[in-house]
Amino acid sequence: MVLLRKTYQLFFNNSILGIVFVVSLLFFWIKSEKNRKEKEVVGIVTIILFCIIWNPIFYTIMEKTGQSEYRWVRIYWLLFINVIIGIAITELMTMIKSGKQKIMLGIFLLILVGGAFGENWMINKNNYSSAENLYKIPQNIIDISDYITEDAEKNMRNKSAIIPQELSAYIKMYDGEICLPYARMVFGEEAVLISEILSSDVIDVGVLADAAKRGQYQYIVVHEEKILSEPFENNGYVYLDSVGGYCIYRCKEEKSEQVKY
Amino acid sequence: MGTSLFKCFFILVKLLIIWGIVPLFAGRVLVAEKNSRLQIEGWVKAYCIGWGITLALYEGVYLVCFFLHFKLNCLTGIWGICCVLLAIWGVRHSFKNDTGIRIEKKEKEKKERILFGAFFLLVLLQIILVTSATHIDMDDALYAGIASSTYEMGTLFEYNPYTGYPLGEWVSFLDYELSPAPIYWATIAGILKLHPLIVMHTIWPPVAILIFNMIHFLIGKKIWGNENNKIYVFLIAINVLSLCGNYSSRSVGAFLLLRSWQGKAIWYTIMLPLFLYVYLLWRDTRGIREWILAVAMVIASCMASSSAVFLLPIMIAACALFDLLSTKSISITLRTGLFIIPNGVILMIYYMIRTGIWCY
Repeated sequence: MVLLRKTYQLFFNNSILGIVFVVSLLFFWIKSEKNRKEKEVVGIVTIILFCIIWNPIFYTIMEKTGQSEYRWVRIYWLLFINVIIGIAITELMTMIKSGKQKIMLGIFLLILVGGAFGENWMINKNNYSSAENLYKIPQNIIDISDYITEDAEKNMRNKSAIIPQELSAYIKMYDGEICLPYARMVFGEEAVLISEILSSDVIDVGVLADAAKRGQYQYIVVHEEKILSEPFENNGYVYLDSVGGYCIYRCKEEKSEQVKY
Repeated sequence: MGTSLFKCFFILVKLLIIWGIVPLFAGRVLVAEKNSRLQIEGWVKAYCIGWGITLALYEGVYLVCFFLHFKLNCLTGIWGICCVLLAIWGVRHSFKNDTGIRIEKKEKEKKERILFGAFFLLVLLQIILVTSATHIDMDDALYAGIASSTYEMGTLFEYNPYTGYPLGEWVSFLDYELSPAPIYWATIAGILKLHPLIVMHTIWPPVAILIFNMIHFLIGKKIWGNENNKIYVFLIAINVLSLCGNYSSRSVGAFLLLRSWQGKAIWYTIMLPLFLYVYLLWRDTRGIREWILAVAMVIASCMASSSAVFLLPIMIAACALFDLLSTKSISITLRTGLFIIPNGVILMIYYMIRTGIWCY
């Protein structure tokens, strides 16, 4: 039953929506006058609810087979929560005749589903920021990526780069050709080493340049504010430019083959 | 200036064809009623179902192309030709059955106008929101990564979307290899000659909101028939619930308004309600056409997300059990249960690759 509790918490996140959903479902079963199609939708959802979601045998099997709650939380998608609540609200609204009462009920429902302080409201600063471009990724990602592409074409270099982790996932979204040691997640000893050096306050240039040469990466991108232990020029990389708050270095010698981490 | 305006116009025309005319008429192949005057519901129904059919077609063509190591251009070409042929068939079918373009005009009552206005404003608010604002979702590293590398390299899952290096084996991204929603974006981007990120992040979200509302309109219509006031209240409730979906990152609102381009979002917010609607159609008629439609929606769901491959059988089982309880007919129950065929095929391929029976 741990899985049942965990999936419920993951899905509803302690909000009141779970209760609203169950009350909506109960409302249909109690309601005397039933629409045939309503009955069909509610019937299927009820079967899923009792046979799967509230079925202890199902969860026991899932727990024994080692299923993760992150995968099985999606079972709640089959409950058509918004559709069920939506139908219940519609029926409730049409059952009430007085206009004033309808407005009151509407406000009450809005507070119920939106949260007392609007915490369930999707439009907030945590969810959205204003778009910088049509790609809807930070502009400096596009600038850095375009700069590397242009330079690689001009100097006949492979598009391969060592890039701080905060940029690497975005760069791969924008540029499908570029080769990186890691993107969103870092795997492999060498990739972990590179990521750790780039995220530290003082960059150990010697170790980083050696790792870059081993992987035959043509470009290194470092945050402008990072302190370098020594100049990259002493380690076979030449400074090109500063783009979008990051310094770009290129390997002095051309290498064509890349090593897979 | 003139060139960019012409380019924009050309993109709009292509968009209108691939996401407008083609689904509309592809849907009419299976939806057009003989000798019936077509109302707004019929158009919406044809469009939504046609949209599902084009996705189902994509899954079929993709799987063939993937296992034969075809390039993206080839996949786009075959799928495009199939869709256009289907749409032409739909046009012919429409005229043959005398269901020409006629939208029934009916004066709306004052109350109905107010409700429609509120619904329209809610949809408009969401469209403005998803078009002008940005949401950063780290899952995109994979989804957009696959789309971008497919678009630029022109190959199907031959390069690691995270690092850009060649992929040696199938199993690494198997969930996505059999449910190719990110490849679909690369295909659309190829047709529009736009970067996949623009298609996914800017063009698709408002279209997703429109299709989401169309499907819920159809569900409302199915439940309440011509009681338009109830349908509008239902649609308002659905949109308010979407806008109040911040309680969880797994709510309908979170998927629709923050990351509608991801395969699981397409399945959860669009294909799953569409499957429910088609199942309601199947319950009404028990005809072969509705059965084919339901199977097509299952295939389209599998195309959108691997979650559908695993979870849709549960939904189908619930539908079959409901049929058994309500009709007491084994034959109907079995026919409903057979919706599961596409899931079975995909699960079998999945199992064969995972266990090494089928090697690269």
